[in-house]
Amino acid sequence: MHLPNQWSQVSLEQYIEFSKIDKSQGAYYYNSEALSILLDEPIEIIEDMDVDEMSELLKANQWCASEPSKRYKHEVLGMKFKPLNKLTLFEYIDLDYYFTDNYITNLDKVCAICYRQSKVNEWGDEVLEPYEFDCTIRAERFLDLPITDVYGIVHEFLKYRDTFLKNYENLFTGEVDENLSEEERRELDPEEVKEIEQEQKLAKWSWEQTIYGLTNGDITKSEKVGALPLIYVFNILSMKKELDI
Amino acid sequence: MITILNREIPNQVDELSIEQFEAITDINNDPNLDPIDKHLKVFAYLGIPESEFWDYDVADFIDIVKNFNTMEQKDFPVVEELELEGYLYKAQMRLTVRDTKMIEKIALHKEKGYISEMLAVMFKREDLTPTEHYADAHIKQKSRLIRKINASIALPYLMFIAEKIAKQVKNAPTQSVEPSQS
Repeated sequence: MHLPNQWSQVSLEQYIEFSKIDKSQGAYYYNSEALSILLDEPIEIIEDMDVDEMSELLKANQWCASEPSKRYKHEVLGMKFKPLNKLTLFEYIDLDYYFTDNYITNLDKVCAICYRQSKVNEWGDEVLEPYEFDCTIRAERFLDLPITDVYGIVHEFLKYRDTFLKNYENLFTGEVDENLSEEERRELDPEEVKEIEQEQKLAKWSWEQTIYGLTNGDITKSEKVGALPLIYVFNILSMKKELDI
Repeated sequence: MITILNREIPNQVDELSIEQFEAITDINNDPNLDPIDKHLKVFAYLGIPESEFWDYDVADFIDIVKNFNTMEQKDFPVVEELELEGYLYKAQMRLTVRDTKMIEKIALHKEKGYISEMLAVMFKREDLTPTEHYADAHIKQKSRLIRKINASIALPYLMFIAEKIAKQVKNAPTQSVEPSQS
């Protein structure tokens, strides 16, 4: 059995599996599942071990308690990291969705959006491939990479998103709460409930609404708008809001 | 056995069944009961109605409780084989990871009757596969049979499990391999 002794020996796929372990099942459940992933052995092998033997293996795995390095490689699998300030609207929307959903379990898809094939164009400039592929299929290519090659993207994007949201905070409404519980509904008057539900509906469709507005309702132009640089789109939206046009 | 209000009730571990031991443990673990209520409930469970203590002096009641709780120092032998309804079950002073996971699950989710279920994990039939042995229905059925046996059989195993888990916690902090998601 080969036991990794640092994060660089753990693949992205293993790290994602790791994060999916149900913590509510208890510490022995968690640790046995984690060892099964790290050792790449079926859970039955771990379960047949004496509990003292597992304890010894865990002692050798103390390094796992720390987070992987926050660095990332700018080139993996022959693909280049797309600078975040060059993201298009659709790229950002997808990244935002994957991060909001779960940025660890979606890290392979995040990589597929962030790393791109490149070529030198007729002018001798390097251009990155457009976002015209299915990132869920491309994601598989990244699963065998060491987690330390890509983990830093998480921090990089979170940092970028924070700055972005701050810069354009006038365009974003506040966080919308989860659906109202029955108890909350009883406590509020019907008008307030209606208002909150309307806000939730708007939040649910906020990106679609933005695109719908930018295309003046002509959804056949959505792809073109989605391929525009994110910063450009938001500058236009800011301008429209400021000039009220 | 101890005589309280002319009634003889069991107060030593080897005088109780696991079912009784579990019931008394449940009462003692009830956070909503104060010490006096706990003992009134324990006595009621063992056959002395609460009403019989209503006119009792508190100081006398405390003496009764002290006597009831006096345990004889005994070493209970380790019983490694049990015959229940015609089947032979064997246990060893050994915990596999799977045993420990099951015991942890029982401890986390089972409020009542966890002692008999923990023993049901430890005692195994040799003719069954691990899948059959660890099946919830099998563990539950076996624990029902185990509840009828003497509580002294459970003690060495409970001590062993407690010591093992305490050692694990001390040696290897649990969930040590959990990555941070911040």
